[in-house]
Amino acid sequence: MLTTSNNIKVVELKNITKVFGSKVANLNVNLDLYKGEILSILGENGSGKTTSMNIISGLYAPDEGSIYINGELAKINSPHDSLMYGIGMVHQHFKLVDVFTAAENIVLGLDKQDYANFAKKIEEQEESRFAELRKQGKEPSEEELKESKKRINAAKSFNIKNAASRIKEMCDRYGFELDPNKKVYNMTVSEKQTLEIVKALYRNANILILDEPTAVLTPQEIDRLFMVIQNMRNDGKSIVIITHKLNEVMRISDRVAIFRKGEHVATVETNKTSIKELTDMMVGAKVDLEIERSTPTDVADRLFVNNLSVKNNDGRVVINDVSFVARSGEILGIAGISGSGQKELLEAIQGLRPLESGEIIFHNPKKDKPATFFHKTLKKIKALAAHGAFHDPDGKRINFKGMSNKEIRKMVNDCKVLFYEDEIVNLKGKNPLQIRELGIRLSFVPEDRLGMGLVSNMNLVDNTMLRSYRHGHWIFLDRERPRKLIEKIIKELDVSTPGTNTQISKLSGGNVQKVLVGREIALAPKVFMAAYPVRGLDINSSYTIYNLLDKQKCSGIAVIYVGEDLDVLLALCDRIMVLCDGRISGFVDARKATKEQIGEMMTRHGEVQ
Amino acid sequence: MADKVAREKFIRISRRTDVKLWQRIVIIGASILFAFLLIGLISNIAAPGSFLRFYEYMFKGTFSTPRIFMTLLWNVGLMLLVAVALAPAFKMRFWNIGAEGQCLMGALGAVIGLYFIAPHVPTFLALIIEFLLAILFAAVWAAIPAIFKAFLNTNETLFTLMMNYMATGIVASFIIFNQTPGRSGTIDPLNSATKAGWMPQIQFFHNSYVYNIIIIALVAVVIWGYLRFSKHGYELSVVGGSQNTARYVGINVKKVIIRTIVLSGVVCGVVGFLLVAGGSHTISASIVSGRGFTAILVCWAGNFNVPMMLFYSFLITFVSSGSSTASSALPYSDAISEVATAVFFIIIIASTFFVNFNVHIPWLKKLIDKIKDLFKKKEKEAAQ
Amino acid sequence: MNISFFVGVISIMVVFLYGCIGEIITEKSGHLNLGTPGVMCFGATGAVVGARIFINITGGPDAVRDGAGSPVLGIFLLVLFCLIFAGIAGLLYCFLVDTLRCNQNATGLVITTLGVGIYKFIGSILCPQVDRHGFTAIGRRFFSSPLPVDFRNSNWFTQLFLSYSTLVYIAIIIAIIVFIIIKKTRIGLNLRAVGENPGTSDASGVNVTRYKYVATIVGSLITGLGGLYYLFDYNTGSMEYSLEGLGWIAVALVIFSIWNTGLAVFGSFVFAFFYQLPTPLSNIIKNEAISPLVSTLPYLITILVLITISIFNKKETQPPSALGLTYFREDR
Repeated sequence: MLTTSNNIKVVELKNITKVFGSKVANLNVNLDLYKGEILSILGENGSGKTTSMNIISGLYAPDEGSIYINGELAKINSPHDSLMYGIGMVHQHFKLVDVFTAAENIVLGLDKQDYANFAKKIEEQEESRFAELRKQGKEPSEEELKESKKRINAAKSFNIKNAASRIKEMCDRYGFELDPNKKVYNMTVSEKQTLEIVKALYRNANILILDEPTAVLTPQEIDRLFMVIQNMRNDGKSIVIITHKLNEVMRISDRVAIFRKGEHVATVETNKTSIKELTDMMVGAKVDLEIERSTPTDVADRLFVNNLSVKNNDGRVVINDVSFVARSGEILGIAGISGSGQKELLEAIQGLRPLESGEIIFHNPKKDKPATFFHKTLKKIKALAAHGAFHDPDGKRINFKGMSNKEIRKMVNDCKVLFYEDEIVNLKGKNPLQIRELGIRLSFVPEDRLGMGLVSNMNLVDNTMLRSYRHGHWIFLDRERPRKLIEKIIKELDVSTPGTNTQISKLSGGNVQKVLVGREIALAPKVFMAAYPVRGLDINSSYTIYNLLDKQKCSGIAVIYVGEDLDVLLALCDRIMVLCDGRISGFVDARKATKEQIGEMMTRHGEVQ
Repeated sequence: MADKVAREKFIRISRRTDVKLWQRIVIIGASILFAFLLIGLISNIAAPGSFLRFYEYMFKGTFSTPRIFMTLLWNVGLMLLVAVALAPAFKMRFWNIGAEGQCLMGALGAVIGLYFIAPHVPTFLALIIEFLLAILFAAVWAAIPAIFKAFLNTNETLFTLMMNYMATGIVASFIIFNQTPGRSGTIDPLNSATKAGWMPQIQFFHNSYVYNIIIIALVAVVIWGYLRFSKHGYELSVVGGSQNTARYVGINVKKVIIRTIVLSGVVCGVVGFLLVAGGSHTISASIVSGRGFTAILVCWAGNFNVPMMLFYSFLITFVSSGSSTASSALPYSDAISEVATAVFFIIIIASTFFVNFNVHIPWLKKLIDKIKDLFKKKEKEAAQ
Repeated sequence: MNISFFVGVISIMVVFLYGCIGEIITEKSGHLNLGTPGVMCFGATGAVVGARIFINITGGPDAVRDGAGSPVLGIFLLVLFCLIFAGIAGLLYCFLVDTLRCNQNATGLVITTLGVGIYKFIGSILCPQVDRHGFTAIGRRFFSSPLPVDFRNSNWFTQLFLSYSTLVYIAIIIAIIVFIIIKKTRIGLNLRAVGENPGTSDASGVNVTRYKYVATIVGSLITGLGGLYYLFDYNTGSMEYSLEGLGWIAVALVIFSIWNTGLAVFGSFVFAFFYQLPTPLSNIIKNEAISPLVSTLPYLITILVLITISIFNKKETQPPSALGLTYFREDR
């Protein structure tokens, strides 16, 4: 392996500190990057790895500390300054202009100096070519000279067509597949990433920073990406990969820098370390990795999803013919590369997304439970009774024959009218409100907490009553009950907040999530769905959430957990459904399956076990 | 690439989340004082030596007699009511800049009642009909852009802006169509002899606006309560905060948008009704006289909060009618009142920056530190 | 309808065109400047200031009326002050919106109020009733005269296309130049990117703040010329007509021309057509009440265009995605 034998430092971070509000994102970070190496930056979510790289790329200004590039003190105040030093960064959320073509995105932001440099480079190439020719005793023809002049002049100025042909050449050389004239809004995720990398290379970046580049790619795409990265390293470029996937770290990098809670803990050479050592450094003091998992009791089918197909916001079918059952007293895990349709699946169950085909059937556990006027009218109860849906406490069938309405009401209110069977409800075509009016309580912790589960500019009380504000008090709000509830949540889940009237966006990610999960649990749901509930949370908060989920399961709720960390899925869930590209590639027993097995299924569908 | 060295940052800005109430009050108070000072300076430039006299005239034109003061209150009330009409829309992040046109359409509705119906029915009934026509016209006018926003996500800022000029054209056409014989393009106050369909006028400090002001106060309180305590008010804040969240909790976003904007229009209709039945008893295309636009600024500066909007309505009415009075005594045009209004709001709007952001000026900090060091040194020397 | 009607249409369309081009450039950078009417007023006010200075140095309004003073100096002073004033308005908008991060709608409306006020206020001070003839003389002598080319046999073609003053042709030339810059050049690409996605532009090395400032100020300069044209060319220096309504038409026109200055030339013609239509129409339909309704047609058309682009929802015909939003780099 070609490594850092040359020992030329291209980037040095010295004592970088960055504070956002009250949160310290980076504290005294010192970090070196050598020429021609692949450096992995490893750390959990929120450990400050992306922040430190954003500082190098000029997106954030550090509060303290300095950056040295090629041994000289660099002043980087904007991404453009950073580009001037030959640093290119590919962000996790692509920074592309949707209505522009690939070529337009690539040349965006280049200035006259850049074009002059391009021309100079071509001129040098042409001259060396001619020198070669002259050595062989051949004089370049008049036409050839003219042609070369033309090429140099063309490179001097802005011209989309010239740029497109230059991009084509570049793609051919590295093996990228990219159509320079394709609009970004028509591109796949992988195409967009390719475009970002080509964009950096087009600017002659010597230092390339990739923020979680593999999170959205298929294995084949990852292989291709790693091949390109290695080619670039062999070209003398330095590459930084921000990631939290250990196997990729071991596979591709020369050295690994580990971040923890905003600090740079250590840097080690990859071939002298092990996954275990890296984990320990990443997590810090050893945390009990045992997640509580109770044995399921009273398992009953609760939610049937039959042949479901759902489209995403762009109108693409992202859930394709999916069928499964969620059972009460069980945690069903959903594994898959992010963007495999998990989000759309949960939103469809919640009633937020129209179903293209298929149905969602809910078994309301009403057997031997009393009917109430809370969700049913007298007329409905009478109609159901005529079908023999009820029995009395002694087990005899009720038909209300010869009873007045008053008597029936009394009987219902005395809880003497009991259901014979579970109620079966088709949720297809119903919106969240209609579902709730049917008495079906679904809890949903969405992926986008502040954008979907909560309202960021409201205080804790108002956020707590999002689900319950319709109750009572005629047209007016009742803030008393939610206040009591949030006080309870704050106490039980140990939410750290200045008070109940604090705006929720001022809380840290973990506390925000506790409020959201606490609120959803307070709904006393029958089905509890959570999408990436521990994303961005520290270890302790994550464990609080895991335990809460397990507790829900024990109290007879059907829990659906969408996660990305396979270790957690295997330790927490009872069954795991693996999605690949919107289809089910199989179900596994979480107590028996291995990570490798699931990993394989995430990338290939069709093998049902 | 080129080894270009960037310069050090001259100034650095970060969002602040910890601003305290007293800091807020100090910032707002200081900027109001500064704005008043600036307006006086403008007067002084236009009419040298008028700096202090300008303020004197301002007070004279607004506080000198009970009658003048009541007129001020009436104008404050109108401004407040338009701002109150906008508050639900703005809170929902619906940029309704069509209040001018909505009020004008409300006035048109009221005038139609006053013209065609009031002479034939008892005044009490006439007033109710005028009121209903006013809120109907204004609500429909507001609902049109809202429906398109809800169903097609049509840009509401530009749509409502255009609706203002549509309203002006329709009203102008109505006026010409029904102009008082012998007059070109105006309608004289209607039913002057019988006062049919006029708001009853009780004399209070020689002023006839008492009922109007009571109605305004009532509506303002109702909207304030609606925004703060009602389920509807809560729903519209959720829609304004995040439409995704609203859908997630089962709020019908389209319904809430249309309902809120219709409410906004209804309140604008009340403004139109008061302008006609309780004010001029006729209509002109400029009857709203820019309140629809100024109220946007009032609403924005008051942060959609009714008491704060009252505060700013009062200040801005004081500034504009005060400076307008000053202009009649000083040798410049009454356009000073528009200039003063604009200057006032520029300062107020600019001051929100200091509420929302922290400013770090490295070189200034260094300078202050140096001066401090210098003083310390001197102190030490003195002590020795 | 005859040729003189269309000559009138083309004369008024130029006011809209200046305002519209200015606003398109501004909106391309993501600034929805509702201060356009105010900026026009600022430009006109600047022109009044320039005219006053010219009158004072040439020896009073009577002397100007009688032909004193060099046209070059006069035009220079008027244009210079017009640009300075309009530039200040643009700068003020940028400072409030970009540096102090104020709400764009509120700021734009304030600029409009300020511009309208200042136009009347400074106008009443610098251009009193007794000096009016001096100002109209400037308008007549320097601005509203047609091109200094003599067409012996004036036919419909020369009347329709070659009978206007210089500022009319300049407007069309500016429209074409701006069209090419926005569509074909590096600066245009960067500008469009800033209005579409400032975060991306910033990350790509475009100085977002600089682009926003420059675009808004350049846009304001062009808009300001519209004020100068209206006051000293179209109305030959007579200050009795309000500019505000024309400014709003310019804002509407931006939507009609779907942010394309090439289409703006056509759009301004259509709007001007409806703007002038009441006059010949009143000869046909003997009812004055029709004309205010006809003059709302530009706004009605704009609404229809707004609805149409929202129905088809094509990416290319949408407003710049970041229009009206404040950009702050460190927001996460």
